[in-house]
Amino acid sequence: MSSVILNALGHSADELSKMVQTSLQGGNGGELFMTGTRHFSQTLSNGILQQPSVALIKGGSVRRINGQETPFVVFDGFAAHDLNNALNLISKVPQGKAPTVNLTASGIAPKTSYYTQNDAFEGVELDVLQAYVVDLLREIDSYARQQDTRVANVDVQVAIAGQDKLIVRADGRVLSEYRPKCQFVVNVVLIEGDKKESSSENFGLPFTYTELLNARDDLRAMVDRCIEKASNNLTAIPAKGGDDFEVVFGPGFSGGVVLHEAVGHGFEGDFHSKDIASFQGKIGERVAAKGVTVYEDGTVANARGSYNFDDEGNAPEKTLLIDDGIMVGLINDELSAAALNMPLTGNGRRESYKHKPMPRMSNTYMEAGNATLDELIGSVKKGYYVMELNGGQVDIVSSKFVQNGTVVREINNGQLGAYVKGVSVAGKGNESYKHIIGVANDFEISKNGMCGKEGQSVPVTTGQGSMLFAKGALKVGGSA
Amino acid sequence: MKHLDTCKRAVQLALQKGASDAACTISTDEKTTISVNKGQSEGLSASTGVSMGIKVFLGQKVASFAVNDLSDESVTESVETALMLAKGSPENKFEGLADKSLVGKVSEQEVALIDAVDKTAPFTPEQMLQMAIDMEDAAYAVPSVAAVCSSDVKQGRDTSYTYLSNGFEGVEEDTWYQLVIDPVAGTGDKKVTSYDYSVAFHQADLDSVQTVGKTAGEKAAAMLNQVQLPSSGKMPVVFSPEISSSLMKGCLKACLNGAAIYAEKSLLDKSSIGKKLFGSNVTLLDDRLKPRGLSSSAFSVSGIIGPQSVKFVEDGVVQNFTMGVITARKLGMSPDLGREGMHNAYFKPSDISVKDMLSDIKLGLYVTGTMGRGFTAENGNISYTVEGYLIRDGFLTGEFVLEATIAGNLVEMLNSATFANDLTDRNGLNASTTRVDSLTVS
Repeated sequence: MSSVILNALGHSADELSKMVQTSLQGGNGGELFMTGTRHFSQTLSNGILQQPSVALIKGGSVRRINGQETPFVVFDGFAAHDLNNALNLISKVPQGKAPTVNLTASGIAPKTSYYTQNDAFEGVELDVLQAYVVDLLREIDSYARQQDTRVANVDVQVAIAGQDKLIVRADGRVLSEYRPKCQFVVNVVLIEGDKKESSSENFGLPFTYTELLNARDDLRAMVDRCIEKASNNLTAIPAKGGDDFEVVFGPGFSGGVVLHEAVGHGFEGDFHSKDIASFQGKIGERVAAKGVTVYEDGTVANARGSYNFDDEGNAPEKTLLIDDGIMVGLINDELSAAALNMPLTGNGRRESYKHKPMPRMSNTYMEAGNATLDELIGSVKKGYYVMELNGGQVDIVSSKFVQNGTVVREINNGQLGAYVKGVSVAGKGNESYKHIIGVANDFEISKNGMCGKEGQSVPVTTGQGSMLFAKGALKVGGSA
Repeated sequence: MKHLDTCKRAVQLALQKGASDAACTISTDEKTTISVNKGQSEGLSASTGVSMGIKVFLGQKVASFAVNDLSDESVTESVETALMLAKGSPENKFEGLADKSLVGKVSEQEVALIDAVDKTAPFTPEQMLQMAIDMEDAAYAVPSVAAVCSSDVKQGRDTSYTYLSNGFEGVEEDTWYQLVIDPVAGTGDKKVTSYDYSVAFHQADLDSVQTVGKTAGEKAAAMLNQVQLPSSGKMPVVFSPEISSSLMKGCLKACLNGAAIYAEKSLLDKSSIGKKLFGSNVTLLDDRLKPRGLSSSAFSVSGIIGPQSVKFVEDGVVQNFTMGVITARKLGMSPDLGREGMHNAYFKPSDISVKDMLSDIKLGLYVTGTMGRGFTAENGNISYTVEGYLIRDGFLTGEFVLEATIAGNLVEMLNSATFANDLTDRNGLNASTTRVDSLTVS
């Protein structure tokens, strides 16, 4: 096995495996988790190039599983002294009394990767890379300003990163991989008279830098969408609120965020093992309308949320959560699977080596339906078409969720009407989804998405076709 | 002061290799956390961290490098790479360290006044575990508390070392202690959750674990008495001190941010200074030297010390923005206040009691929680999902509304806002109970 991290530590995989097994023996599991990340980013803001930033961050942590008790030691850097110290500290933790964790799918090294393992920087020197990035930033800025004279500010950022990861498990298995990542973010501000509106687009995908540079047409299209959205919002009128609106969410990120917040979080096993989940005890029960089928799937090729093994070293899976409206599965890591005596689903993820893993989503999506978006909109007497959201929030205990719409249109008697602003949409995840009356065939999976839970952020995606909620399923907050 | 020496070495190396200026900061942190679930430990987490950021200047060409390996080879590589990138960067006319004439010297008296380091020995892991268990027990002792999401005890120590080639050096250190608990009341589809916490630089300033656990449990239990909002429309809204500081001050802070103003991402612009945009009741000021204040600071990262207190809004008139050196240059203003951000900022309270503030409200909402991202700084529009208690006939009731929405505009809110006399200093940002009459509730 070749690994940048093993080379830096000066250990062979076998040596390190023995060290970790010795340190963690007597417990139920655990692992050494190490990453080395190289990151380059540059921003152009208001016509001025900001300083390039480079970061080189490396470190690791050791976790021991003693039943539900998981002592954890974190260290920065790859120094042998710090690694040995952490392994030594964790070995002194008294052994737990809890039953052995049932590890079913553990430690399977990936045969094929779900994304390229090529160097994000493709071996070029940073100053060469910087020159390419500066060209791209300038090009995007001037492109945006050429499209519309109302453009008052353009912020555009490119970030290129690559991460080496090494996991050595208590059972001795060693896993390593490399993951490239390219991120592009653009924000455009339009000013007309005394009105000001801005709009953003972004993506972050497992690309190398040339794949990003070659995607110029897509990047320009993102600028076009920003301008179109901000321009439409300049005409937007304050929205009326109420609980008698039908609501159509657009495909991909728009409806997908609702799915992620309102449903997905409620299926995370740690909440169930603590008896605090709103979807507690509902396996086998109807939680959504007939026709609603939802998967959590870490194996989608080239998706932002995919991984070759999770942060406990387990293989990702495609897990059925809702089958034709019936709740059938949960999202588990090793601890929650053991506590609930349910299948491990390879969803143990963490923000970085400084954090313990917990059950997290990866790519969460609803199967496409048969309707078309036009049919859904055409069937609405009085409602809103939510085309874009700026993310959302859920109270996992009460199942209450809220989403703030950033691009929203009225629907009156089947016709799209004015753009409106100030729409928030609230509901109860374990109730509202029973009142979906249509899912369209325009399935899309998002190219962006970050999920926060207990202070840890991980990249995710969401996907689905457009969907329609019946009158009364959701409460719309307005600004009129 | 090994780390301050490393900062100096990195800056000197950059100057030797041709930089016209350089800045280096090293931060270290130590943290231990323990969580319990149903009386059982979830394990002690211990972490130590270190990171260094170096910024090099070739005139007005700049680049920065962040790294968490402080070995000599790593520091040298960081400086060399940053210089290489700076060479390839275009000139940025706004870049550069603060002018030498603005840079001050850290006062030891001020550091002593802030008193951010607790000399008491930190809690032992055994003490932390017992505290987390006791806090959880106190929450479970409240009738109808059925579960606890987590009961956490955390402590740590943070230090930062800064050295700038314009001659400034500064070290900042604090110890901190934190208790957090979020209990669940009710069962089945009626479950609700709330939380309470205590955070302080000194152990002696922490609330007791029994108080925090009990308060959190009672807050959750009280939410079970749910009612629907009796009617929609414009009505008085009263924000709890916590919500007022996060919502009202959070929104205003975003608008007073110089970088956002320059980027057209605030409803304010440069000409707002000196204008009366808000009600005469609104005065927002800070205090960077507040003893044991959670966001006290003896200096800013630019090396500018600045006055003890800055008024951002006085009697409704906008007075100052927050800004660093670069933003100040962009706006054509002076960074001499040394306010990259606000320190222990608060809205000046009035002498009206909360009781009197509520006395003429026939029907209103006392907001204890918000959800969503409902604020647009460009235009001040506000639309949040909120929860809270009904106010009827001049009194706060126990009738809890789990879901309502408030809509309006920050400028209108700050024109109708009254701040009660119950200002406390629980957080780094504080506000007293605040009444606003311009919001639509539905």
